[in-house]
Amino acid sequence: MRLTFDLQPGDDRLFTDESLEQIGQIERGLLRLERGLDPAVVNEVFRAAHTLKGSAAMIGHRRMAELTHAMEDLFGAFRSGTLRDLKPFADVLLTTIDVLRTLVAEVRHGSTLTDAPEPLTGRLRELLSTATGASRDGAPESSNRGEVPVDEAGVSDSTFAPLIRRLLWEAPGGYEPRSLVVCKIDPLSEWQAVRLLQLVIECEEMGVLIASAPDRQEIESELGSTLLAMLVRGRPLELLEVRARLAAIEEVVGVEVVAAPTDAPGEAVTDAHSDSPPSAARAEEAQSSPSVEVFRPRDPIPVAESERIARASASGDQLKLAQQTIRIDVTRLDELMDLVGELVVHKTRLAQSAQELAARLGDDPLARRADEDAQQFARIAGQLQDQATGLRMLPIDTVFNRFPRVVRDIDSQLHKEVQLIIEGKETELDRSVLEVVGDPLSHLVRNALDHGIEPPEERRARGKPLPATVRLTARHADGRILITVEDDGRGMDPAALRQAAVDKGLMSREAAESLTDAESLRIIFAPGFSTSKFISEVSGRGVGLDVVRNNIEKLGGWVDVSSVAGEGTRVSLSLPLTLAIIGALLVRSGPRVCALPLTGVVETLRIEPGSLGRVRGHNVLSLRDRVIPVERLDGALGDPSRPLETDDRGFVNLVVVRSRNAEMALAVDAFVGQHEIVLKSLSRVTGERMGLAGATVLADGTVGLVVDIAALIERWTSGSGPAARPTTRVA
Amino acid sequence: MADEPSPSGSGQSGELQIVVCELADEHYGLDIAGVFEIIRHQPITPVPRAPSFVKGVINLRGRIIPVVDLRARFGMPEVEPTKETRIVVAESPSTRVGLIVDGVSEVLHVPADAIEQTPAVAAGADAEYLRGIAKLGGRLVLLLELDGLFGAEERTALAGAA
Repeated sequence: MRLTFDLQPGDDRLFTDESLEQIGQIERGLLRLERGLDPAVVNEVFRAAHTLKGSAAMIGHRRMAELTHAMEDLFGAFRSGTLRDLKPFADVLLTTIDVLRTLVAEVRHGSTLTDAPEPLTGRLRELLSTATGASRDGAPESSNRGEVPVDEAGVSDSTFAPLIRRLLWEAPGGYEPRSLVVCKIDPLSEWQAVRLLQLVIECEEMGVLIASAPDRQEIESELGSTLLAMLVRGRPLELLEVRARLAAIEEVVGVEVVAAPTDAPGEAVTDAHSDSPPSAARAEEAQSSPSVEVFRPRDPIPVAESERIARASASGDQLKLAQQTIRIDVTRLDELMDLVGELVVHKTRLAQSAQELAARLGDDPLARRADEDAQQFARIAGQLQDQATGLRMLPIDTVFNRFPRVVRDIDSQLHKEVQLIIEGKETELDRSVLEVVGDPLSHLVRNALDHGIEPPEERRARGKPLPATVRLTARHADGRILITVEDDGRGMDPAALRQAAVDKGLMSREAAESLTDAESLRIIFAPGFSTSKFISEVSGRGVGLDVVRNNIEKLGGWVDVSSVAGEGTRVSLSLPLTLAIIGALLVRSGPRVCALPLTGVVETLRIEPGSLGRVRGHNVLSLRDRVIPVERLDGALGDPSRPLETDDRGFVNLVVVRSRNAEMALAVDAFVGQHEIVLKSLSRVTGERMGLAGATVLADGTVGLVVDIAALIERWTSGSGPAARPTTRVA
Repeated sequence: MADEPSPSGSGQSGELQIVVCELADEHYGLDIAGVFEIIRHQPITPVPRAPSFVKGVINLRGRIIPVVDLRARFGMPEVEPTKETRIVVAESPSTRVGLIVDGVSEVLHVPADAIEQTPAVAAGADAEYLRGIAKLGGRLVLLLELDGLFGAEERTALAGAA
């Protein structure tokens, strides 16, 4: 069915982004609530659901609005304290999350993608009414408008209890005397929201308001309530005028002011939250990865009360932090980076001009000033570059935060008892890397759960601890980011891997037996090794670990694996912090300067032409035990082929490059130097851009072409190049 | 170094503001609204496998922009750049591209009634890059349609470069 929404062109993206963010927040909240109810998190998910409902309704996505409404009501019951255990609802709520994502996709897709929302909405409503019906002896819900009997409002009135509880949880802590004001509106009023708003505004204008429940936003979105609780500054006796003014508002049928309880949980939160490190254990941790988070989906550990409160306050802080951030279109960040890159280029030129001026004018005040200014400018430009680069950095948490859910789902599917430990989630890396690292990581985590971790019976029999552990860590090391996926499962047996490689026809028995144990482990990354074995619902999709390795290596990274049979497996990924700024070897080749990313450069050589060999009409280089094909770089990129040339000293300049295990020697006219370059897209200006990763602005302001070494070599190995193929070494 | 045209584009009905470019002994006009910047000739980095009239790419304040030689595009003999040679950086919704011209002479206000539809004799295969012809005091200025300069395929090829 076609769907149309009430959206301006271009707003669909905004709606999608924001909704997905809310949905993600609810999902993360749910996973935490499953471990134990936490009022701050309940509030977080309730608000997110509420906002989501509002935006869905605004664009006229009825099915989505209804589903989120049902979910919001369910959260409302937790918020008011009617419901206290989320576990029975977890599965259906997580299903709701998935369906919501599909519903969001419908907006861009423009047609119905799922039939699930209607039955799911019904199911949520049914669950809510069953659960609250069973516990509907205490406080009824605040949202049940019209059911409140008209009588004198009072704090003792149990109908206010949920509002007050919530107010005290949410309100910022404070030490000055505070009071609670509760008000009730005539339930027959047609202007409930207006009246509530009047009450809140009155208190605001008198400068006493700290917080209200419902808050302004909720009132304005017509949540529908006749009850209002406010936390205000001052003792009840000082608030007589406030009370009088509030009572004078039309259709207000009751106002009462009492002193706020001083031992309110809201204040306990503030007290419990301190910045002192929890223990010396943290100090001993790797300095770059201080945070450790443990997720035990099936076996929630009892959390000490103090810790629970501390966590509540942490998420409260996160809420506030979120309001201090702004959303920027990434293309604007990219443009900023472009401009900063240009500035840095000009910084160098300015410094040169200042020096020339000094050389020409000698000891002249003007020359001195120009030199000082140029230096100052260089310093500021450098700082600006650091800042701009920093803007593109995001914590890896944006990738890691999907894994608690992944682990939970697989866990309940495979019935393995697994806890996920995440360390170093605040480690930052560039957006460009972040975008591409998620899928390989998912694959590795799924593999660890599916194939690494033993079933509980087996672990018990072997005397291994339960739950099993999958540990995901990230840290910076040597200007790169190191991510490891570690499990304490059954590990891998090198001998078995060698046997499997022979059985699958990947290598001869002799070759297999010549491998060391460490080399044998790498067999899992060989093409064709994992595909057949790894197709299962969990880690499946028929994609092998060789694809993981390829994708990582394409980014200039590498993959390592270590394993001890019976004890576990660790896979480490090492990646550059950014793909936007890369180290490159600049070379002159034909009419231009080319940049060869250092990740693919093996070595540079200057040799006499006579020392090159010939194989079937092509130049080859014998380097130690390898025979490497030699090609001019410009020819390899697609310029008309020309014979090799020597430089003025009679040498051929060669750069040996490698991708995966194939090598090539590229002949260039001259080596220019090694530089950090900013990678820019080149568009499809060439129609076919084979062999080029993009372009970069060089120090002199001209453009250099950035070579895609992997693509260049791949084109050669795929046979479109001459008969001489690059050497392939054993993995 | 850059001759910045006035930012006010032509938009009012009845008048078109055009940048007049010289190519051999012919005059070509580009709607000023689509002219981003006019810069002197500068070193161009050739790109392997590019179409023959794409001379390569330049850096315009950090942006990589493809450069097209209009002489090559129109099948005129190519010449070495001179002091007068300019690169007109123009953009349309689908393209941002630098156009090499022999020189830029002036900015003209052209009344709408001075513009004629491209006559059949000048049209032929090239009609799609001509928007019309302006007769101005005995001079003929051919008005260029930027998007028409490149075939659909070339347009796609150039698209992401801006």
